[in-house]
Amino acid sequence: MPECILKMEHITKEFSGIKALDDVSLECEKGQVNVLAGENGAGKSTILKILSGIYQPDGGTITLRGEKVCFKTPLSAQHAGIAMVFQELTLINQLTIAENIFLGQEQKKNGLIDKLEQKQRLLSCMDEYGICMDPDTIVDRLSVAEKQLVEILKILIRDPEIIILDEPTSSLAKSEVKILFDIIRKLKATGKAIIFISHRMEEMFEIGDKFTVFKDGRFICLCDRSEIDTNILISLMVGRTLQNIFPPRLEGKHDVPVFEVKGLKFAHNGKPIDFCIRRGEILGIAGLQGHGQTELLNALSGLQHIYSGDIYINGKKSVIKNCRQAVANGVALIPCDRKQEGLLLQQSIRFNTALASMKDRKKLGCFIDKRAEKTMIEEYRTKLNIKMANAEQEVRELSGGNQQKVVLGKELAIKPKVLLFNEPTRGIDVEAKREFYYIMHDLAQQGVAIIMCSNDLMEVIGMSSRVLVMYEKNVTAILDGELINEEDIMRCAMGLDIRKGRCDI
Amino acid sequence: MTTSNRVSIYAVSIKSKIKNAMVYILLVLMLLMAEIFSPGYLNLTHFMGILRLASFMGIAAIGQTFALLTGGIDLSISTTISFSYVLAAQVMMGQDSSILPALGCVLILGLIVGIINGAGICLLNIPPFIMTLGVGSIIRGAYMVFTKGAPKGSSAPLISAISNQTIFGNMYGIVIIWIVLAVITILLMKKTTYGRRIYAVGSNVKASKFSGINTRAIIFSVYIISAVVSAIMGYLLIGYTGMSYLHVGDNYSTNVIAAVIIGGTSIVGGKGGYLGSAAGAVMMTVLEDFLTIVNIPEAGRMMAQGALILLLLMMYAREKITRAC
Amino acid sequence: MNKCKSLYNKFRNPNLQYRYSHVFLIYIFLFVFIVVMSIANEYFRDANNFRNIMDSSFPLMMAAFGQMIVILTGGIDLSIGGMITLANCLSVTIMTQMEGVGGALFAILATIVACSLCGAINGLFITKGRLPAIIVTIATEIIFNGIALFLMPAPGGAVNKEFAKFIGARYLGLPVSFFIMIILVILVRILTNRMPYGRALRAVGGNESAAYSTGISVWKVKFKAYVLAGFFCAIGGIYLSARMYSADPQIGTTYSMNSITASVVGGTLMTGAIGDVLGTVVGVFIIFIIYNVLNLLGVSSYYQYIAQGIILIFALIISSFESRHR
Repeated sequence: MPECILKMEHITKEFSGIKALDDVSLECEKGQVNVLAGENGAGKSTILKILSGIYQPDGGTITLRGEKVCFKTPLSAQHAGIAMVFQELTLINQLTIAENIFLGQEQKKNGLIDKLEQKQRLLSCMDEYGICMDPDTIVDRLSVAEKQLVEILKILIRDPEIIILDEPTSSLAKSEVKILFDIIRKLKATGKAIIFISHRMEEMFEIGDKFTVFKDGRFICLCDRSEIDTNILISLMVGRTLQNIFPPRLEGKHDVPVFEVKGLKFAHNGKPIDFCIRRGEILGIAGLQGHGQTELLNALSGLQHIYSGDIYINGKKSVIKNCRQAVANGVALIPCDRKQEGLLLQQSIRFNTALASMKDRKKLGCFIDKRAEKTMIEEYRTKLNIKMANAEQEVRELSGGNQQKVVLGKELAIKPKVLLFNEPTRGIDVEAKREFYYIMHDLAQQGVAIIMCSNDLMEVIGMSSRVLVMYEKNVTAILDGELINEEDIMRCAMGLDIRKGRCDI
Repeated sequence: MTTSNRVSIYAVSIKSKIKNAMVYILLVLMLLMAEIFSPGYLNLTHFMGILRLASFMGIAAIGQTFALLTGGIDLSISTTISFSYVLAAQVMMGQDSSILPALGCVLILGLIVGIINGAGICLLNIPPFIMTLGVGSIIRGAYMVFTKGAPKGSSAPLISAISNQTIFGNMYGIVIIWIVLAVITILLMKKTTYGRRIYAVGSNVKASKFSGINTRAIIFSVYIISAVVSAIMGYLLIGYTGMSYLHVGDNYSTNVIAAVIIGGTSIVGGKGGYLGSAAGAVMMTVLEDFLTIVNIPEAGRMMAQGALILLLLMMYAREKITRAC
Repeated sequence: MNKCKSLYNKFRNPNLQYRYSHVFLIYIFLFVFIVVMSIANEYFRDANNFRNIMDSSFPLMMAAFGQMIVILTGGIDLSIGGMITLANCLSVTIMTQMEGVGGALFAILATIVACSLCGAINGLFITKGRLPAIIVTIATEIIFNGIALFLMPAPGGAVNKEFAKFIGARYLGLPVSFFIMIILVILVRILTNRMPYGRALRAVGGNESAAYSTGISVWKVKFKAYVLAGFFCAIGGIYLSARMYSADPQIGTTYSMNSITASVVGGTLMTGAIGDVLGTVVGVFIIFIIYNVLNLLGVSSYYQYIAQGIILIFALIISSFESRHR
């Protein structure tokens, strides 16, 4: 009977009034792998951050080895035998593997670091788990996969009892995943409890003993491997009703596409991408986080290098090598991180809104035409319903929704032919979201090509005329019509089913 | 937004409004104190003399303000001033006829320095402080070699007149020139698209790039402006002193930085402007003058200057609390 | 033969290359430079000339050690020149007041404490005060110079004779500065490469948030680095006192920039984490040999300023090419 070493019960966590976790549970048993499944935003990262001491729960209990515990700092969680490998790498590139692993807890002899002893310990640990790397390699020279292995080694060397792996396979190739799974099996054999997050169905079912499913911050179920299969899992993860905040879906007109991409490669080893956007339709891009959506949008707006391929705007071939050319060609990007990439927070609304289109309003060749600016800002204020005190107000004082509207206004001012939205309604309240959807709807009807990339599946389903699904930096499907539903999109997003919908070009 | 959020935002904007006004408040206080310690300070002739001195620091502050606005810094301003000063003296040789050639030489000098600085910072991605530090040293050596340690020449009478003869009663020509340059600078920064781009680059380089701004060109141009204006300042400075001396620019290095900071321009860029720097220049001039009046020796003045900058930094330049500190 | 082969293979190890290729190359450059200069100029290859180079470069060596440690954490210290000036003036002031060897010893102790305190002030404003290092150290340099000027309004003062004799002595034909340098190089190397603090230094310079998540106290690491810089400036300044037999409140003006130059020439990256004291030593020597050569060639000392700036910028350009290559 496997021993239940950790039990998290009735955990709740709120951030600025929004419930990230609502009465969820998570448990793990010695020698078993518990796969934590759920979409982006389901709350998986949050609960694991609570477990590793980074956040404190607002409610609920954590029981470790039968005793109630409370982790105030990451260090206390580590001392209790819990170790987590994050998605973000926490390595110092300029140091070697051995130096990174023993950082902060060096083996000392007479006050000096005992390099030999450290190397020995490391080598025996590597032997135990079948990892083959030279401890004196400088981390900067490692591939991302190898760096991931070093991260895992970092916690293995401390011999923790509970190991949490947050999407460890996201940058690993199949052969590397095999090495990782061998390590996990060895860990299981020695009685360690493992919590594993992944989005790849194959892997989840290969390594998982138990499945915990979260959805929208709520605990859905804890099932045994034998009780579940891919279809059941998907239906547990999704299955919501479409809210009534979306405008009617648009149907594209079958004439010359407004925006067309042929053979586009934005990554060295990616497959060429083809798609088109017809007049009057909205193309949604769906997929799990980090599968190339941002890179695709960046490439289209001149931020990222295009390795090969052509872009056609209204039938004319356009060269986009950098941001300025993109703007000149009428391609505008609303980036996903508006605070870092879209806005100049300390400047005024006027400043921000006018920024991209200043040259269209020049007086005497170089002066700012304040009156024209005022008219423009007023135009967008009413069109987009931006709630502001006045045009001189600093953008950082606005709410998320209004900030996003300022970014949109800025891009609309260049009279774009193509609008790229990356996470258009992230961090925005429902009312503002609704406004945004109708704005996008109207813009599409006016003939602007709109690409909308979002992690919120319901949003993509509600807004898109067609959906482009990405997985592993490639396009796995372009769905339309009745294929635009949660389960089919999720399938494609997890690399299961590749079905192409109707796409004429 | 909740009520408490709104209240704290208003509190923040009041705080920042006070910060912006700080330089003017301090300036007034300082002038009052000076008047108390040395009655007659504020009388028109004397005050005009102070303004005349401040003009030079004010012109030097133009370049530094531009540099700081983009989030950089120019540590070669002082040596550019020194070189331009001795160069102008040598070319002018006390002749009015050589005024224009001297101006030409000085402008070329500024252009060269600016291009070198800009190239290193923009094309080679060398951090501004270290690039301008190195270039500053090269310029120092250059003018030492140029003068062979013995600066020659003197100011042309017309240039001297700009700084030494009063017109319209009590006004000096140099003050008028400063005002003209100040107006041009403020117009450029606040009213032109170019100025907007400078503020944008200083606020957030990434977002500026996304909006189609050529950030490299903007930063490059800023260092050219800084060097050229500093060269012009050196050219005018010879008029004030008449004779050629070495290292005249050394007094305009940290004083100018202090003036710009207290004027409200942010160290990390994107906020501030020249009006504050101008007031800061007057304030620093009055401060230095004041310290001389109360007979504080050089050593004490240096300690006061350093302490003042630290105080200003504590008030204006503290970074947000991040986990790693 | 096999030993050669294994040495060669060890040399081709890309990990060692990552860390030491720059250092290795500048040692070769220095060697070649010295050889060429020795052949070209008879005054250069005189033993006394080398001793002079060693002696005159020692203060900058100390400044560069301190600067290197600060740069490793990703910071910068532009007040190095001020601290050296202060050390010089303070030690001479004390020795003028207090006669005898006891006075000299007290002066040394007091100067070390005072300069370490200066470093601590830098460290506090930068870490706990959360202020940018560049401008803080520009400001503190003025303050330290001011204090030095206050102590010594004009060059002068007196230095304890025994102390000066000790510093200026020769053993086995080598100046005392050489021995002190060797000892300090060994100690600094142990600190930066073999002690947990050295790892922490590089970790903070490489990736502050990653270092923090490992449990390293980032502010303490940075703070100690600035204090160490002060410590080394004290040693440099005290040495200057003995060599010049006096104090000069203008003595330190070039040290701030030159210590950065020496570090960068020696392979220390401005972005932090990478740097080796063995390289910094060579950086200092290269600078001083260039000065020496300029002197011997009869070039006026004014060219030194130009040389300083050119060496710095040149070293930065090479540095950025190397980074791209990595």
